[in-house]
Amino acid sequence: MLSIQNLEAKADEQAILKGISLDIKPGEVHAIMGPNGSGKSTLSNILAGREGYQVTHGSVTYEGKDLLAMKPEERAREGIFLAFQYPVEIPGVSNIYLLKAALNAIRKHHGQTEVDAMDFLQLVKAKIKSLSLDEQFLYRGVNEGFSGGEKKRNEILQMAILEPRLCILDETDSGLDIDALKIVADGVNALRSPTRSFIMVTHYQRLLDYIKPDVVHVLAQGRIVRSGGPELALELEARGYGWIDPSLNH
Amino acid sequence: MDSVEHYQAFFKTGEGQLFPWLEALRAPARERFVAQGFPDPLEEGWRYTPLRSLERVRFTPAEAMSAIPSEPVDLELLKDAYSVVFVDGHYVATASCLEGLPEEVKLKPLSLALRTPGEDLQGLFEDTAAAASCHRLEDFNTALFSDGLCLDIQPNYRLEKPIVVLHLTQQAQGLNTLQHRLRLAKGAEAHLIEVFIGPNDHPSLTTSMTYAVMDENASLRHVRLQREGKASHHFSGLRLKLKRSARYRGHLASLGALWSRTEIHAQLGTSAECELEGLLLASGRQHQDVETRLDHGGTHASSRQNFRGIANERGRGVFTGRIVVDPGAEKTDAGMSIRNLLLSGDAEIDARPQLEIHADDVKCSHGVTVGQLDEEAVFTLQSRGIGEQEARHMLTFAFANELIERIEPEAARASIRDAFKATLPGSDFGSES
Repeated sequence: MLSIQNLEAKADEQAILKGISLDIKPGEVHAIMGPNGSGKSTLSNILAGREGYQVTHGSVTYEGKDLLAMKPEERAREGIFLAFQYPVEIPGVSNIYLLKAALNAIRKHHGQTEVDAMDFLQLVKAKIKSLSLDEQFLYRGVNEGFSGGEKKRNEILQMAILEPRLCILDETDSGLDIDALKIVADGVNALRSPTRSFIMVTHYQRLLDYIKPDVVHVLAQGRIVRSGGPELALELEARGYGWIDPSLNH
Repeated sequence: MDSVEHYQAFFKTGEGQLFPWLEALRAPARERFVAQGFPDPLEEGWRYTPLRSLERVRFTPAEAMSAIPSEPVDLELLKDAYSVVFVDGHYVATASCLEGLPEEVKLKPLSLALRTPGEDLQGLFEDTAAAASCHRLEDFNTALFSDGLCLDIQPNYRLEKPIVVLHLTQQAQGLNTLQHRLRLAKGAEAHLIEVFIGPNDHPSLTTSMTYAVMDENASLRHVRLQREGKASHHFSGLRLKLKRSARYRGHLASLGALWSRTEIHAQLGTSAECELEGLLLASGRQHQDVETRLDHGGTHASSRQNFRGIANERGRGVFTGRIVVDPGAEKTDAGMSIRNLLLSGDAEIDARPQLEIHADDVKCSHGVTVGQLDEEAVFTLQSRGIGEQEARHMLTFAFANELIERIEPEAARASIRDAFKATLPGSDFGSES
């Protein structure tokens, strides 16, 4: 589904990714762990197409296509979804309007007709209920005045409606209390399928108690320094990142 | 022939015998305009709003009413409303609807009222008169107005249906000059919607002044939609007198015209409330100017001003908001917020809040922002599959819609929302959920 080859990237003339290679097959859940500044968020942002990064080497192939040549909206229409670490507030654009516009943009790209208004409302109502969000959220500005936990749940709501094929969760667990974490994890788990893949970027092992990864990668100083099964995350939790990368022991 | 001489030929004279009070209003205005001409760009109030383009064209008033316009007139807005239609400065009875007016409400075009015996027009004009003419464009209007709306509502009468006033300009190089006079007696309530529509293919000039006096506890809700043509010039003014506990709530959408200036001046008596909201959009080479002046003369009066400007391409916006608190006007509560959005590097908006406070125990606040679209929000929308252009339109619309949402009634809100979407270049982002 996704193949990253020797990816190197800079931001503000500073090298951040220094040769990353990663292969993700349909249905797999990959966790990318690493200390602050290791390049985790940069990788997420480059995959989603955010401006401000220069890819200096390597390639990213998504379902046989050159992902880096695509605009952010094209990536989204082709099934890539980034759940933001810091979702922005968009006053004046209601949640339901965004959901509908986004869903229709994606449907249009695939030659489908616009979604029926009643069907859409039913779909959305069912999803928000499963995420323990109030129906009123639909009619408020996107993330406007939402708590941290509500913003993260809203990201999962968008993901559930848009049904992407590759979901990138950028520190989705940060700032969540244990109850909110469970709701978010349940939302993600409900979306797991043999054709949908996930990249979970996280600092802590905690999220992985609720969403079981197939593969865990440890990112340090712009490189994947170790890959393994879920047990790698537990070992990291017990021994700290310094175990992998001695330069982090101060 | 200079432009002043050109317009002199159209001055309204010869009304003196029948209506000496009208002549007494026009004569000094004529004299001042002839002596001083159009406002000079060196004058403080006009520094940011040059009149060169207005003076270059010799506009001519239409001799008589022309045919009913083929322009698309907002029919939704006219449903379930009293309507008064002026085409090229002349009342068009066949397009208007004044049927079923209660006897507590006098609503007539001036041209008709002047021919109706027993109308107290002199009283209406005197009651609604502003303290003094502010400048020569107001004088220009007074010297030339060919018709207007006369509205007089008896005490404590609440007019439920809105009154819609349509100003249509059709004639090439047409001059459309109207003056409206409104008097709401104690406790009276009304809802007025003014719409300005002009041609796109040739220049025209519309000037419209609205004078209103609102007695104790009277209430007026006022919506103004300016969607003149792309080559039009537009000047409209509102002069309000709010007596004790009177309430005015106005929404302005200034979207059309090549050159537009809207002035809102209000005098607030004790415990009066004045709320002004306005949206302006300047695209292409449009010039949009809004000037407000609120005089807090009585104690405990409150005013809220909330304006948003959007400038695109080489568009230019100007806001001047002045709040004056008179000596003794204690417990005044005045707030003004001006937020602007620049969509291109060539666009410009100048916002000038001005406070003049001569009382001690008052609460006055003002805030101005000028910014661009939030690129994080643009990226967020893109990352959900929405194209960049559409994302920008969506966010621009959202910025405006926060004000549009507050407009009542629904028909006026929908009309302004549609006009805004149609005016925003290249916009095509589906319907609102």
